[in-house]
Amino acid sequence: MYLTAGIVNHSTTKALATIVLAASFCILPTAALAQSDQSSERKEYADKIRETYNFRFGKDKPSLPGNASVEGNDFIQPGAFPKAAYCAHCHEQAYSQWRQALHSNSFRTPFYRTSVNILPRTAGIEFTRHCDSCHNPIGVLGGAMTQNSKVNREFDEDGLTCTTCHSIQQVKSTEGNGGFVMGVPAVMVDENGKRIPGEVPYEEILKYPKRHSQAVMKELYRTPEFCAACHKANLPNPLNDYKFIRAFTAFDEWQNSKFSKRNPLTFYSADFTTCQKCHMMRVPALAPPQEYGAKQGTFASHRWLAGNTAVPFYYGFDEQLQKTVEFLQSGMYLNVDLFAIKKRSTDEMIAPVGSTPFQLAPSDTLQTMVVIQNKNIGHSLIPEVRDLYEAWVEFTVKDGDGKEIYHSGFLKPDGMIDERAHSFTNRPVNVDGDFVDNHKVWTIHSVAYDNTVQAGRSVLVRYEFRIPNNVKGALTVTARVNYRHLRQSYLNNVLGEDHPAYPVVEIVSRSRVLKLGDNPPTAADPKDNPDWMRWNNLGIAYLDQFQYADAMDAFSHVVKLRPDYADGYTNIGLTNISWEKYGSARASLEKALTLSPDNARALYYLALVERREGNCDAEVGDLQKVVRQYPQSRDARRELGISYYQQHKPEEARQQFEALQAIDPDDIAAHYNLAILYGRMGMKEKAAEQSALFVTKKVDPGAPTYSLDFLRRHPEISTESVPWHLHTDFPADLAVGQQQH
Amino acid sequence: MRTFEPILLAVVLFFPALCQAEQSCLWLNAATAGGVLGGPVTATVSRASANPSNAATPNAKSSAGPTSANPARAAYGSNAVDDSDCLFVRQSGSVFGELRIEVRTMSEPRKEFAAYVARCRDHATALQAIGNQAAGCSLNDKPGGLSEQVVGRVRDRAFVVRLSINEPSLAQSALREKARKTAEQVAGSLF
Repeated sequence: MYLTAGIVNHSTTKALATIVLAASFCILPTAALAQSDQSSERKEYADKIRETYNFRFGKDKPSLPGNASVEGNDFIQPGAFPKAAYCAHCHEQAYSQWRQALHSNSFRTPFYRTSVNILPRTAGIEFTRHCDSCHNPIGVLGGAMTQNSKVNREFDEDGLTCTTCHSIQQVKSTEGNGGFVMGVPAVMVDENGKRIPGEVPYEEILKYPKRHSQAVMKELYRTPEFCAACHKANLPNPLNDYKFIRAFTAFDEWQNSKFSKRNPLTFYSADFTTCQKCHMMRVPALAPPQEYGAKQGTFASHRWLAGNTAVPFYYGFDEQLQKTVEFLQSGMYLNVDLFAIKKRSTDEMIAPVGSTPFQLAPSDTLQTMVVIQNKNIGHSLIPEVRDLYEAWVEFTVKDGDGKEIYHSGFLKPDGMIDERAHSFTNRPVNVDGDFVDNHKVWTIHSVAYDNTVQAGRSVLVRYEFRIPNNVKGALTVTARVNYRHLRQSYLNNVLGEDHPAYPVVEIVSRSRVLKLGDNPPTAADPKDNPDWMRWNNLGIAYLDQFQYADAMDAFSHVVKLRPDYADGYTNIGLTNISWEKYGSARASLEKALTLSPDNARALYYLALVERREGNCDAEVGDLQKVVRQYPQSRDARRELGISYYQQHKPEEARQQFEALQAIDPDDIAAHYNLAILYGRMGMKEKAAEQSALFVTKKVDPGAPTYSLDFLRRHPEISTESVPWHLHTDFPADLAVGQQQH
Repeated sequence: MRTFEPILLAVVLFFPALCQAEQSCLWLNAATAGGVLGGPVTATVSRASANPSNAATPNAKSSAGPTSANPARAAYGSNAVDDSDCLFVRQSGSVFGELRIEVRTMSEPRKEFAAYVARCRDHATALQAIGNQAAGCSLNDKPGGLSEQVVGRVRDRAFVVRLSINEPSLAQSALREKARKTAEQVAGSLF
């Protein structure tokens, strides 16, 4: 106990403890008092909270429908959390960054409050524990989220303060919703490594810096699993009175990306890269001000740069806004490729544009094929709440005078996006088939469409326009990906319609000049992908749009240009499998394995072919090789479990499904198969648990009807739900054979 | 220290009793007000009107609300929140503190809000990131005490936060910061 070390004597401690207890309810505890006997203070505080706390979701589950928890499994007084200003004394630069970052503003922003305030007004404040487990954990763990709370909410302004993240001791699998276990906040450990609760004098920290590090830093903090505690969310039954619905899964998206090195099935490869590597890049420590956290002149940025421009814009955090825009525009994350042109008169694809000569004439009707690659984002485009964030493609065609010939994805005078734009958003709907506006996630029953681009994948967006007869000069065709945080109608909900225009950031763009007459090949832009990769990305996009013949053609171009590229052959095999042409898949997969022996991706798909052929031993053998190389591969574990199950090897199957569940606690196949396997093994309780989890997590077969209701009533946007669609100004009957809007 | 403990115990027992005696203020709870005023407070809440026609936030226009078929959940009231005034008073010896919060719905915000800003006369200083817009000013219209006021707007609702404390050791700048933070809490509740 730090207080026995002569800093404060015992009688003083008792007296101060009494004061702090009182202060926790009605007045601000002071930093000096926070060193008192925290466990007795905490007990008295928790006893008082329990007297009036709404335990709607169970006496032993005070944070439900969220998952936040703290050691001791009881309420903890907010004053137990040293304030950020205390940390700022030595970490001034980190503090300045944090103050402008999303984490410090996680609760107080109008963009959050407008949504979360609906719960106390309609259902009860206790439901906010779902959101606030991550947005305001001190409030949840302090028992403030209850009717007629007696808790001083001064801490609201600091959101996720230093000692929320830096007190976390473990994460509870990767289920999210605040799935962390916090320790009682401490900034020092004693000579035996025991955590000393509360603040200590700075001199003590400077005297024993390692003990400070031991208290506030853990290897866990450098892992993606740490971020998963809050960057993964679901809507549980206690919240929506319906069923478990996946909300957002940034962690899973990362785990399935090339950056995790845990998934053998990615189209491309990369070095292992964590969330922190991109969002907490090391930055120079400039002295002054003081930054004791620096090592070799740098420290991990506490800006968590990502896509949110709305919060710094609202608060006037110009530096944060500028750095966020720079982050988005770094050019590292997306690639836009004006890949091909098709003339309606011939239907011949001219591709890749820039490498292939072609001719154009007035009156030609052209289909331009734009491939947008999620090249180096470690998660989807757009991640997380796609109902609020807004990324879309703006596509323009202009003549030599700059006169607009075609424009998709423009902003209308009221700030709304052109309905016909290709957007990377989604549309969650409620039981009435209405768009769930204002982020009332507890009313979501289905998703009408979800146009995200997963990490490493590509999307093909097609635009059709006609070259006017009297066109002047060459055409300039431009495709850009724009981003706005947040959707205009949500901003209107939050601030009313008279708010200033929020920033629209062009993340990436590519223009090409199309001449009337001859168009010879042109030099590639340094940012362009090589032609083999351009074809590869087209093939990936076709594959995701179920255009298997076209995907096969695209991948065939890849292996012609790169006969040494094993993944090109694997992609052909994958396309055949997706097309259910298992027999045709084998040759290309074997070719891939010739080029790259023991290639896990090729082995995985070959195993699926072998399963179809009834060659069980080879199937299992190949999957075992994949699992050995990628022990955290969800797909390989799942398929190997199924293989063992089919071979009547229940114990081996169980091991695989349990391993799968450790990787992804929400995997439906794991729940289903474990329910059966446990049942057969006589483990009735575990079987019942898995069965119940399967029932609540599986898709409600009635849910698509809510989506269809929405799509029927919104023809202007309904084709966004169709993977293969065309954007054009032509009336439907002229857009021959194509989906259009 | 021994003689001090009974006093502390009385304080401990007394604080929650005062907090419990409060009526609920929708914009700020009594514990937070107590933190602002530096000690336990008494709270008085008065509604401006029972059901002003335009008191609903945009959220209330949604038909969604609770979707449950469970009658217990469906019984919750609408999303509308009435206008009301809250008064928190702290009296401790010679130290007196008072926090007034007033919330009103405006039928024509552009016109009506100017009248709220005029309460600062010509001393209004624009405050960023409090509601849609806000302005603050020092009043100091009572002898022996300091007073700060913030007027602000969240969509079509105006709010006024007026904080007065006659604590000699309190600087005007500190009181101003308290008023600003309180106004931010109030605006947050109004969103």
